[in-house]
Amino acid sequence: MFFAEWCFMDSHFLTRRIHSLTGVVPVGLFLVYHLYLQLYLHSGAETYNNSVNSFYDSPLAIWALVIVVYIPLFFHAFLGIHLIFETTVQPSYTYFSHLLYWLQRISGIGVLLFIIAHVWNAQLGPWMAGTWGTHFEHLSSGFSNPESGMITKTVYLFGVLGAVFHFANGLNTFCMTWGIALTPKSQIRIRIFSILLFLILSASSLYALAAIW
Amino acid sequence: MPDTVTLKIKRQDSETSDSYWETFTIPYIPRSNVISCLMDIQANPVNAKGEEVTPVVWESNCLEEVCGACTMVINGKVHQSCSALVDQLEKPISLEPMSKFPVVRDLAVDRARMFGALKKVQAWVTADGYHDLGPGERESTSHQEVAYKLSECMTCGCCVEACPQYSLSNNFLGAAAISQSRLFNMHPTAKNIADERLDTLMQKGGIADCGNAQNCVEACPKSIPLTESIAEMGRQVSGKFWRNIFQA
Amino acid sequence: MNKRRVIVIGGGLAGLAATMKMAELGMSILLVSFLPVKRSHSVCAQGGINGAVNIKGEGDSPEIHFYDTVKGGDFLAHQPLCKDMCLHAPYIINLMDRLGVTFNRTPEGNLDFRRFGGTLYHRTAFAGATTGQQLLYALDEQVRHFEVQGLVEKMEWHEYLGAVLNDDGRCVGAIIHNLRSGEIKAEKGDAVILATGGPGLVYGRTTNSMVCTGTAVTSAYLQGAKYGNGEFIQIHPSAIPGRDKLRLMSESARGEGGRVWVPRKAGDSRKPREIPEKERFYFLEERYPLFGNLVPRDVGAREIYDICVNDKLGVHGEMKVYLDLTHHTREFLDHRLGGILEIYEKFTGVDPHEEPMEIFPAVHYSMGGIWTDYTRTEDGLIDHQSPNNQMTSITGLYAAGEADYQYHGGNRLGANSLLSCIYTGLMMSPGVINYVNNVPESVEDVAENVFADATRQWQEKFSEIKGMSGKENPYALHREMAEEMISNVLIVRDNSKLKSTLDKIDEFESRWKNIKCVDTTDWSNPVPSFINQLWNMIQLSKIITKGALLRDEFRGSHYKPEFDLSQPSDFKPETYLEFEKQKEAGIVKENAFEPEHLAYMKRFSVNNKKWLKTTIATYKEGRPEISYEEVDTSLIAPRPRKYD
Repeated sequence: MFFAEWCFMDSHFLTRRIHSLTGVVPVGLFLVYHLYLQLYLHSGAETYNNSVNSFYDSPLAIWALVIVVYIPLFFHAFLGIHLIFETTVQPSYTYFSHLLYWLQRISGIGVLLFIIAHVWNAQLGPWMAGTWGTHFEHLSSGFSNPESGMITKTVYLFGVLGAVFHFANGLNTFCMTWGIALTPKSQIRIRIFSILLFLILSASSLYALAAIW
Repeated sequence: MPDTVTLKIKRQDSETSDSYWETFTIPYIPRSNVISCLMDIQANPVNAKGEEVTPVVWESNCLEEVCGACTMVINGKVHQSCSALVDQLEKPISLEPMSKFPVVRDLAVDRARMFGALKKVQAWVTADGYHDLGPGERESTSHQEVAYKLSECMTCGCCVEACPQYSLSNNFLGAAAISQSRLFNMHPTAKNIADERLDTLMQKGGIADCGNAQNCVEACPKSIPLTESIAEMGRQVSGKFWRNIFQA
Repeated sequence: MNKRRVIVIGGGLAGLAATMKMAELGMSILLVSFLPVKRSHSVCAQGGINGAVNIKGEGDSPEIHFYDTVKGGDFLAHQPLCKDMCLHAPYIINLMDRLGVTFNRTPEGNLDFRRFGGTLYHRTAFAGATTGQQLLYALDEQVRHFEVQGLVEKMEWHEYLGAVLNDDGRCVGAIIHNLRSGEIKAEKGDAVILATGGPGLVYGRTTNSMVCTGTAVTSAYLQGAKYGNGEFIQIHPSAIPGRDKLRLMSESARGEGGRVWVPRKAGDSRKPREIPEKERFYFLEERYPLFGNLVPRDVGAREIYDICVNDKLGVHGEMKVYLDLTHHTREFLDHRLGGILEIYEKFTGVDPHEEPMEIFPAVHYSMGGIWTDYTRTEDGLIDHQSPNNQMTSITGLYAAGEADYQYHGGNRLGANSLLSCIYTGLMMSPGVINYVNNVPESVEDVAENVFADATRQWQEKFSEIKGMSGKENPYALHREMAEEMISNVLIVRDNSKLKSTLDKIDEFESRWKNIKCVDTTDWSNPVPSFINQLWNMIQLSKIITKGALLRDEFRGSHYKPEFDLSQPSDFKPETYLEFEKQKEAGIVKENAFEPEHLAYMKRFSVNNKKWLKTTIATYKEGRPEISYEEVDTSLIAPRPRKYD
């Protein structure tokens, strides 16, 4: 890989480090920003639609979205799937961190499927149907649809919580990988921090969902 | 008190042949461990069906958990068979060879890959010679405590057997070798080639293949802080990562 | 590049030290080991390595270390070797420190030293409680580096069967048995070094590892090499009873203040912590006020035996005494002794921080071994360039470490074994290379049929073993033989029992011929190997037992009560020096000595004249023939030992 040689590094190492990095910056940060935006669901349709649409006012918005979010996201996802195929299933080792290891991988796959559905439902679908701009109405009608509403709600609930878990737990691994948390004590601190982060983000997203439930 | 102990042993006659399970029932004797059971089978190699069979082959030496030889999978978990006390094990006891190494015969496996990993990370001090060059560097007691713990690694294979990232088909170095690279990168003279060790860790099979399952540190019989070592080497390669980009 | 090569058998401390040193000098080495060398028995050594570095400013010196070693060995050790070893000990410790051994440190960052048995000085450098493991790893790493550089070739999972001798009886290679494929073939070597450790398995359950069968040195003995001091077997006072093995409880537990005691009341059934201080019998401290719990191992083992067998004061009436560390804090113990206390807890389920440990003596080390030579200089040291150093009586066949016989005399001091192993490996290397570079004909020029014949002989022997279809299970037979040795050739020796044991061994030998080879497959089959090893162990048990039977005295670890010279309790060893001086001058002022002392000194003098000799066993018509050789005692005059 040309880039790797240019950085004087093995591409294997480099791709995994980029994988680790992209999970946090920018994808993780985007997740936090995105969840924050959803709190506007409580402010009513107009405010919510405006706050979302204001992002797309910029002519570079779509490019920013692709470069800053979609490319890193799908790089992270596809390498992640590749990595899952290299693991061995050893259920007899019932340690908590081993459980988290598997939850991270399972949530990764789940979140990827959710994101694809979500992007189709909330972005590509409305574009193609020409109903772009009325985000609040689109979301709430999907949730209250008598036929598919319950399914949509369930998918969103698990998708959002899965993404939050994947991010919070991933941050923990990120601190190991980059040598930020060295000692067992600091690793416990980071674990507590990531559990708190998981709880806060989960609460925030549940609260947001409650607005249109 | 039970009269007998039953052992289910996964056997394999050669590297290439298929494995099979064989059950042995032997008299219970207090204070037995898995090794003494295997020795009893050796002295009377008859399986539970009463057939005379070949004695089970396994690897052991010190029997006090410092040589690392007798590692096997006992009741589904990797452990030294010398320190696996029968009274503390669920019965029947199942014994399997480690799954991450080629089986030689029965419970004996070939851990050459682990010793190869020690070569890759250059786990040694480069000495000018073995003549009298006076004492080594002075060290603080806290430095010694960290180094001693890391140095207790007996290449037994527990960490990599429990590791979901280590498999027969890949070339991951594993926690033991990563931890050894930390040990030598903190030695006052061995650290002269610290960057070479980091280069090794930054190749395929290196530290980037760790998946943070942390089974290694749970499985280590010597309680070596393996995740701390992995994090520390993660920090060192991170430094090298940025140095390679901006300073090389 | 040197085309000649040396074969080193065994990858413990001695073998690795020799490999490392010779590789440094440019020699190609073939390193043969039963197991990956990192798993060698040296890892079991716990307490430390001796060297008079005098870090604590106690006035310790190599001279005093030398004296303690010779006295500890009851003057049976060869003094120039001991002196040279003790002189090099500080350098060896420094070298190992440089090579990365994680020795414990003082607050200032210097190496820390602890006390060990048989000395009054802090002379033992240590790395936690796994010093042997740490030393072995450092050497293993150096050898691995040479392996990468191509100077050392390792053959792990291979076993030494015997030496290849040319028509002049010179060793030109070794027969090596591949323990996986079962292939037997000759490896050419201009010299062969046996660094194969001790013969503990002759006694079955001991503190030794499973590979310590002594089979390689016995094989050399069967090929004509002399065997020295076989009857001197060290019994370690403190081992943890176990079914598969008697695990060592390091002497460092006593070095760090561990106290040995039994309840004063026989059969006291109370828990040890419930027994008040005044009802405890600290018998070592009472009987040896000066050395206390740190008497040498032979003394300690005998006292424990005496307390349990003669005084019947063993814990719960069993063959056990308490080793108590509970007066120390948990932090202190974990820092100084962590590893060994962990082992105790792991294997017994009892926490030694809270409860005194239960221990009993166990076979630990063989002071004797294959006879080896040396060349001394005029000032009583060793000429390191001499090809004779460590050479057995077979030209070109060398031995080092526990496999040899000359450093520890009648009893080894604790923490001297790691020293002697590394020392012999390093010391012998220049001489071996000198030998190799000056052999009359290189192995490449030795006729091929020499190797082919030796190989065929061993191949035939192994196919005979595989064909054995008698009734005896080899492992069960081994247990029985070991039981016999443990019962009769241990701490206290009695001639009638030794005699009957010799007959028993002959019986075992004939029963061996009725063995059934319980596994006749070809791949990775340890059974034929074991049957061959068992034969050698039987031969070795004859050497030990016959040597013990013929040596009618009490020296070091060899204790025969009927020949105890009964030293008067107020006797001072210096008096004997005065007596000897007078004797040499021709007039003994007999009334200058107390009559009881004088009588004792006369007994001692007569006894020394007869028995201060190395026992030599040579193989003749299926039995060891015993003869005696002078010991070099020119540097420190022999005198009675005393530790109280």
